[in-house]
Amino acid sequence: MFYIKTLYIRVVSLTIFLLMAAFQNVIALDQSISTTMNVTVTPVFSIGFYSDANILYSITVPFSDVDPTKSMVYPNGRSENDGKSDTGVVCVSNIGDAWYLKIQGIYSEGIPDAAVKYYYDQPYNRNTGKTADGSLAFNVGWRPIPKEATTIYTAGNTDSVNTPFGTLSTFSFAVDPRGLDADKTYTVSVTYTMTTAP
Amino acid sequence: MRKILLIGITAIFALSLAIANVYAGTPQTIQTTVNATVGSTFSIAFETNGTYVSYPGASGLTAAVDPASDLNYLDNHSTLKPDIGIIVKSNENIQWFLKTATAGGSLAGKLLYYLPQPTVDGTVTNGTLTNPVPGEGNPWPKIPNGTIYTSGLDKINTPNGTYFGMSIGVTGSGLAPGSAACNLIFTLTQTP
Repeated sequence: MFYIKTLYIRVVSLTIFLLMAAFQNVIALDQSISTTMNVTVTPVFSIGFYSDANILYSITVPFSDVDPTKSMVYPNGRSENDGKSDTGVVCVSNIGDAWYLKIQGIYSEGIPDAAVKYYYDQPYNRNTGKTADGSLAFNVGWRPIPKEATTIYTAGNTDSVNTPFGTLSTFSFAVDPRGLDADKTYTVSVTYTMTTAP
Repeated sequence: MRKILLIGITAIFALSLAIANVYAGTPQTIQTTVNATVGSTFSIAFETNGTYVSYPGASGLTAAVDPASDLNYLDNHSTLKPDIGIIVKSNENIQWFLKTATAGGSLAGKLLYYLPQPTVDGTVTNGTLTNPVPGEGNPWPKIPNGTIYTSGLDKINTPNGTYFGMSIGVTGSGLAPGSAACNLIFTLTQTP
């Protein structure tokens, strides 16, 4: 009887040992640790000039030598369909509201209303590298710079919040010299406004 | 008498020789057996020494985020040491993986990381970083929901473990103004 009990104990011990050995080969349980991040995000609603190799100017667009025999004169260093722009503005917002880009021209004395025109096309979302999803107010083409602040672009769903890199709008300008006096300097101050007011 | 004396002397001499052989001849050995049971180690922990990291225990991670920036550092970020440290220990002799995940809150998916090659006892490991270390001025990769490191020879790295020194950033992309938060989870696993 003692022998049988001893044998039984030894068999049980061996079984336990084999089970322990088997568990050594089982994948260990995952171990995890965690922490919490807390941040404060400041609001941003801004407009600023942008320039690169294809956007030539910002605060001054020069027309140094306007040829009066032409009906469309481009700024210094520009020519028709040259793939460049005169100015670029970047609008950045994270406030979540739709925003509007407006343009207004303040003309010096003696400039006919249609003498200075601008060209504006669909802007770019600099975060995606694609055209922005907002709406142009007018068809693409040359238009006189309005004397009243006028909406030219309404942000879309994607670029209403367009951080960190914003939405880039580019502009080209041209002068129709007909009606302009020779040897006289004319000025149009162009104001770009970013606003949440339509 | 003389013979007895001679025999006695001889016997004594022979006995002396025998004793001498015992001391100067055949090696005598004894032995014992050492039995050791080695415990299994498979653990992960944050570095708690503030000398080595800006956030001991990875506690109190905060940042003031400029949404116009695609990389915002943590408030106590230093160029002299990583933000947090993670220590992984294993003697299981099985390849292991360090994984990350972000969960909860509007900050999930907005966290970036900078992780150089980890070390064991000060020597860089030969394990594999999922994302190579970004060069100066290059963007940091996003903290993924997945593997960031696969062990090499450091699948056994006891007693001191494999040491990861990581810095964390936040992209301002798409974040609304105000507060944002999320949980950042590190998992040590043998599952790829």
